[in-house]
Formats: sequence, C-alpha cells, structure tokens
Amino acid sequence: MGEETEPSLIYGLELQGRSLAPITADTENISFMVGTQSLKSDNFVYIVTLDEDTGLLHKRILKYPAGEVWSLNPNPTDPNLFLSTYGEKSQDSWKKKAAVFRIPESKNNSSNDEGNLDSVDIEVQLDEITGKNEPVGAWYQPNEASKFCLIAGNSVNYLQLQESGPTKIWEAEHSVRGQTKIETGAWNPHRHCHQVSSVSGSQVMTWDTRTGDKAWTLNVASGSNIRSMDYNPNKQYYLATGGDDGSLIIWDYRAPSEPLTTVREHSHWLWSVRYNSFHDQLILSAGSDCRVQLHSQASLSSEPLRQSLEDDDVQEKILDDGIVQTFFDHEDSVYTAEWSSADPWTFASLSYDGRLVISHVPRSVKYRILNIDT
Amino acid sequence: AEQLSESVRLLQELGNPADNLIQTFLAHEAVKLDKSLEVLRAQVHLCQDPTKVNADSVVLMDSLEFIDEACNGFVPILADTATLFYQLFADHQGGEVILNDWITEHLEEYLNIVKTRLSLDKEERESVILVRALDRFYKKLSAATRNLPGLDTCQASLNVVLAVTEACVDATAANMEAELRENVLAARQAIAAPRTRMPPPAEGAVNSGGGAVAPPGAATSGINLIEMVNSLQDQIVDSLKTALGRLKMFTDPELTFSVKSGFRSRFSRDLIWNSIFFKQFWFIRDTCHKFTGDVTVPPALLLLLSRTCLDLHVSTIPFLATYTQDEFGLSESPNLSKICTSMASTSQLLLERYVQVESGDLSVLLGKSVEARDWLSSVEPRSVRAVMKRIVEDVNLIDSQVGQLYEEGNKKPRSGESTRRLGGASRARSVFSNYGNLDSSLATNIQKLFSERIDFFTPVKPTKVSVLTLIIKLGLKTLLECVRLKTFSKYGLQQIQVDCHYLQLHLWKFVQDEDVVHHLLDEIMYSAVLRSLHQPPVLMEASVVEVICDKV
Repeated sequence: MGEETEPSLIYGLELQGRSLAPITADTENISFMVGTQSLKSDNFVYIVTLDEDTGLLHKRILKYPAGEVWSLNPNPTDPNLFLSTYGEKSQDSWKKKAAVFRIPESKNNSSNDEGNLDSVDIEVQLDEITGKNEPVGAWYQPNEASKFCLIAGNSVNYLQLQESGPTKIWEAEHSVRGQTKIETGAWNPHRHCHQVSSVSGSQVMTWDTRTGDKAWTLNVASGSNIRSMDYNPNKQYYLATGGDDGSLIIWDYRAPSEPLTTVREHSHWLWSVRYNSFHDQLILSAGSDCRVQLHSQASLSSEPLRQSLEDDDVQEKILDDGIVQTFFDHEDSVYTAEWSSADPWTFASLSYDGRLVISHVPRSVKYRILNIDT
Repeated sequence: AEQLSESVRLLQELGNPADNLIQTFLAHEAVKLDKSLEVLRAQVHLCQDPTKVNADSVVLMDSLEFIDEACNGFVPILADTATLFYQLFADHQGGEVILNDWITEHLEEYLNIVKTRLSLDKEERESVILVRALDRFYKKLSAATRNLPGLDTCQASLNVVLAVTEACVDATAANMEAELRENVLAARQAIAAPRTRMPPPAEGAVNSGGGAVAPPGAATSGINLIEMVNSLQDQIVDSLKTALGRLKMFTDPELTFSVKSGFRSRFSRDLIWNSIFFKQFWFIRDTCHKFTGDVTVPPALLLLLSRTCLDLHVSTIPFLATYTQDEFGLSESPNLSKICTSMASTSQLLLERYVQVESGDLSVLLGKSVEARDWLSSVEPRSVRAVMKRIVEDVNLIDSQVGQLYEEGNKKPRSGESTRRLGGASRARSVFSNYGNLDSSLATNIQKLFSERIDFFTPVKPTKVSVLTLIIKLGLKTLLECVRLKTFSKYGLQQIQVDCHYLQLHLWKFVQDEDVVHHLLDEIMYSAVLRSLHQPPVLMEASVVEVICDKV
C-alpha cells in the first residue's frame, strides 16, 4: 500500500459481540468498552485501554450478569456510568431490557481471572419506561448527562434522571409502514443539543428536544433502510447516514430532498457511520461485508481548504474526497467502528466473531491534516 | 446598362471627380442588389415561420427554387456590376480595392441569408434537393466571381456549404437520438407491462442461455429478452446506416464542392466521425448509464441494456466503423478504444446494478419474513415457510431471465460421490449434530478451516452463474444478518433449520460453486444456534427435516 501505517492491534474476545463504544468521559486515555452477546455463557464487558507509549493493550474484564449485551453508551462526564440495552434470558423466555449501569472502582489487583472479576451493576432499571416495547437503545444527551433519550419500539422518550428515578419529559412516536420498530437514534450536538433523531426504515425523523415536536424529516430516495446515522460535530446542518444498500450518504438537512453526496463502497449493509470529532473530514464506516472504510469527505467538512504553507495567497485543498484506506482485519460482519474520544487518529472496530481491532489513520494523512511538512 | 454607361461616361467627360462617380454608381447598383436580397430574406422568414400572415401572398420556395432565384437575381447583378465597373473605371487607382470592398460587404449579407435558409432544411426528404441547391449555389458563385481580380470567394462559399452540411448532420444526429429514446422507452414499457405467467419454454427451445430450462412448475416471466435485445441492436444499426445513407449524398463526386479538399476532409473527419458516429454511440452510452442511477427502472431493463452495451462494445461498434469507412471510402480508421472501453464499463455497471436490485428485492423478502415473526413462541414446524418457496421461485425467474441473455459460465464440478439429495443431507448432519458437544469457538474455527471465506467483492462477470451466485450470496447474507438480530425458542430454531435445508436443496444448482451455498447456510444455522434460548440447542432429526422439505 505504500502507506506508513502503524499496524492494527487485534484482540479476540472469546464470545460474539456487537457493542463497542469509546469511553467519552476519559479524554486522557485511548479507551473503549466492548460487550459480549452470548445466550450460552456468561457475558462480560471489557474496558480496553491502549497504552500509547508501549503500544500494548490493557484490558479490564468485568462481569455483566444482567444478560447479553446489545448496546453500550457511556456517560459523557462520568467514566463509571453507562447506558446499556441487554437481553435477559430466563428458563423459557427472553426479554430485551435497558438500564443504567455502574462500573465499580477497580481494586488494586490487576488479575483478570474469572474468580476475581468485578461486576457491573444495574444502577437504574428502565423497565417502567420501556413497558411492553422492546428497547432499541439509549443515548445520553452529550452536554447534559442527567438527561438521555431512550428509544423502545416505535416510541422516542426524553428522560431526566433524578434522585427518585427516571422521569419522562416527553414521548413521541415514529412509526413507519412496514417497520416493526425504530432502528437507531442520534443526538444533534449543535445549539445545546436542541434536537434528537430517530431512524426507521429509510426515514430520519428529528425531534425538538425542548418540546418533543417534530422538527424535520429526511428520506432516502431509494427506500433502502438506514442502519446508522451521525451528525457532523463541527458543521451545523450536516449529517451522514449509512444503509442497507451499502451507501454512505451526506446530507444538509435544510435541503433534505437531495443528498450532498452518496458513496457506495460497501457491498452489503453499512452498519455504522461515525464522524471524527476533531477532524470532520474523516468518516469511519463499517459493514456486514467485513470491511472498515476510512473516508475523506473534506469538501463537505468544516475545513475543506486552508492557506498553503508555500504561498500565503493560495488556498489549497486539505484532502481529496474518497477512500483514504480500507481495513481488511475482520472476517465477520463489523457492527461498530468508533473513534477514540482522546486521540483523533485512533479508532476501534468490533466484528461479530468477537474480534476487536484497534487501528490508526495513516500517518501521511495525519500530517497532511495537521499541515506538517514531511 | 446601356443608359447607365452612357450617363457615367458623360459625367466623366464633364469632369466629375472619379470618387464621387464611383460611389454614386455603386450606390445605384446597390439598390438593385438590395431588392433581390429582400426577396430572399422574405423567403427565409416565411420558411422560419410558415404560419405568419403573408401580406404579399408570397409562395414558399424550396431550396432549389430559392437558389435559382438567387442565381437569377443577386449573382448576375453582382457580376454585371463588376464587369461594368471595370469598363468604366478601368484606370482609376485603387478602384479594385473599392469594388472588392463593396462586393464583400454585399456578399457577406448574401452568404448569411443563403446559410440561414439552407440550414432550415432538416427533413430527410429535403436532403436530395438541398444537396443540389448547395451545388448550384457554389458553382454559380464561383463562376460569377472567378475572373474578378483580387477576389476569392471560394473559401467563404465553401464555409457556407460546410455550415449548412453541419446543420443537416446535426439534425440527422438529433433524429437518431430521438429514435433511440423511443426504442428504449418501448422496451421499458414492454418489460413493465403486466402479463400472465406463461409455462416454461419447451425442451427444444432455442435459447442463448443454453441448458437453463426452468424446472417444471416454475413460471417464466413471459418476456422474451433475447428478442428485445436483438431488436434493439438491429434498430441501432439500421438507424446509423440510414443516417449515413442520407449523408452520403453530400459526397457525390458530381457535386462541385464535394471534391474540394477543404470540404472532404472536414466532412469525413469532423462531421461523419465526430458528429454522427461517435456522438451517437456516446449518446447511447450516456442514456444507458443514466439507468444505473434510476430507482424506478425494472431490473430486466438493466439486464437488457447491459447486454446491449456489451454487444456494442464487442462487435457492433467495430462492425459499423468498418461499414462507415467503406461507405465513404475513408482510408483512416478511427480510434475506437475510448468509446468501446466506456461501453464495456457501462455494461458492467448495469449488470452490477441489476445484481444490486435483484438481491435487494430478495433481501427485503427474507428480512421482513424474519423480522416480523415471533420466534420465541413458534410451534413445531410442519412445513417450509411460504416465503422460502417464494425465494426459490424468484431465483428461478432471475435465472431464466439472465439465462436468456448471458451464457452459462463455468461451474465447479460436483464431487462425484453421492446424489444431490444425499450429499446435502449428509453435510447437514455432519455439521449440525455435533453442535451440542463442541465449544462454540472451536466449532467456528473448525468450520472456517474447511470452508473458504465468502467473498462479496469479486466483480460480477457477464455469465449466468456469476450473476446468480452473487445475488444468492447477498440474499443469504441478509438472512444471516436478520437471524442474528432475533432470539429463537426450540421450535423457532427448528423452523430455521427446515427453511435452511429447503434452501440448500434448491439453491445449489444456480451457483458457480455449491459449497458457497452450503457454507452460507451453515453460517446461518450456526448464528441461529448461537441465538437459541435452549443451550445446548435441540435440533430436528435430519430425516424429519427431509420429509418436511419433500412435501413441498
């Protein structure tokens, strides 16, 4: 490939998994949490930290006794709390539930043998809110950790966590003909998180956080289901969606009838799309074709051009649009790929077979973005 | 003219300054010229807008009549004036220049009018006359101005001829484009038209798909794609041949302008090759290409156009290039590589899009069937789910459609040890019955050792097995993804087992390498087992599964 890339680090969980999240509250260390999804054995949450000096991966394994992990969403300010949806198995039945979990302080022994493992405990059960609906996911409000959005079935709920428990601020319904439930949700981080979106079928519906009223809708013209969406953290009105036809689409939601660009680089479903929060030219996508793709959409980013180092009068492109690199480290569907919240150049991806991979943006691209002459 | 000469000579003798006399003389002649130009202009306006009220009841002339009018009016006046001028002012210094300037000025006007009028002849039936009109125009003007010193009208009049020819060529090209659009639209409508399901073609039916006869009971779509492809090809070829035939008239050696090198080279190089030949094929390519982005297009049209582009790339374009060369006696062969490569890539894109659309439709069927069902409270399976039978039917349909247009392709030979039935069943038994005993990760690793990784990335080839293999792979991959999102009770799992076995029995024959189907179905079963509430999972007896699948 000719690129000087640090090699990816691979770590195998012993079980299937589809949930991965960066520990947002930890801005010093490159750390992620991963959950296993097994109906057969006990399940675990791994806190994985990359030591930048040694290049080694430090793991803390925690028992997750509640069931199998479906999703993980860490608290934006407290690294020991996270929202999670899980499958609770009993003798002859299975139910999907959601709760707030707490990670206990780590005791000084760093052993990871099973007898000595800590457990994550349910801090707040969210059964009452979800009721009969099957929980899809829960996301903390990025600027206000006491509030979060919980999606179950076709209902979008905005909740406040108080001493007495979770209270519903408002509830809205997003139902689309032919869909049994909402697929996912995302916060619009701009203007004090004034909007939150839900995805069902090929439609994104966005709600005004203050009132619970519908703010705007967006539809993918081909009718292909959307699996993932992410707002551009640095450029207001812009967002990206990834769908079943393998395409990554970038939108300006003020003009939702016509996408800004469509990129089709996955040959099956695109399960996860994430903007790099430091440099929004870079977008990560992962799919069930076992590929992780690093894209540049610099022309649609908050900083497409900058002053040339050589000539003050000239504006030059920072990066060309297109695929920066394709990562072939997985052999099974990759359901999530997430950027580290501490380091702009590192990201993690998880495939269903339990393979966790930590990878990096190619060095030349990093220098290019940082405008370092090499 | 007599009177005029007389007057001028008298004035000269009287000592009138020559300059004044010349001006007056020319002005006088100009009036006559302008009158004739007016008549011509009126014709142009009438031709441009035949519905406009015609105050003077002027009759519209055709091109030949128009040129005749010019050659009886404007041209002789010009010639005579020149002759007279030299008689009267022979020894005036700089007279030549003045005359030529005057002539050029009026000539420009004349040429513009002729160009405008003749460019309006866009209909095919007018071409014969147009060519003769052009010839007469060129001949007469040359003859009239040949002997005038310092004046060369050849280039200017040749430019008019070229401009008119170009207008005719453009009109021809536009006609071809309109024809193509109509033909493609007709094909699209024929494909989309509702039809009754017809019985499969008879055993001996001639079919470019070779041995792809649909199994009894399966319906074909009833559209005859191979006929439509051939018909579209013929239409494209005929359209070009007709256009070339029409334009060949311009190269008739009897015409005075056609033998001029200034005309000849421009005509063949730019007009025939660029404006007709290449332009048309780029248009065809662009039209086809647009369909790759059209979400409403019926998939069979994508297939049809993909085959069309392929044929164009491989044989039709080279054939027509040679034909064109021969028809016009051109020595230089055109460079076809760019257009051919582009046609080939458009053909590929259309085929890929076809795969995407068809696998997308299958995926929606499979996805909805898994998503909408409650797998936790299933009853013991008694039959294969209806959606599975529908999937097999749809795959059969796709197979017969693709089989009409593309050759079979190579299949990996089956291992000779057992009949199809037995082979499938024994495979099922060996993988699944051991799940209770094996550790899950060990099972995955063993499975991976014995099977190749499924690749979704090799570009689809223009063969039936390649297309079907990719469509089936993508459809089964969707089933896998959907199964992983559910949780299964004992009977729910067994229903999946039955469905997978059914698919295994019926899908292997469409693909390039049947192991691919086995492997994907194994993975689906494996994922279903992982999602089973019962651990270890309780599977149905293989013989019972066989019986259920046989009932269908």
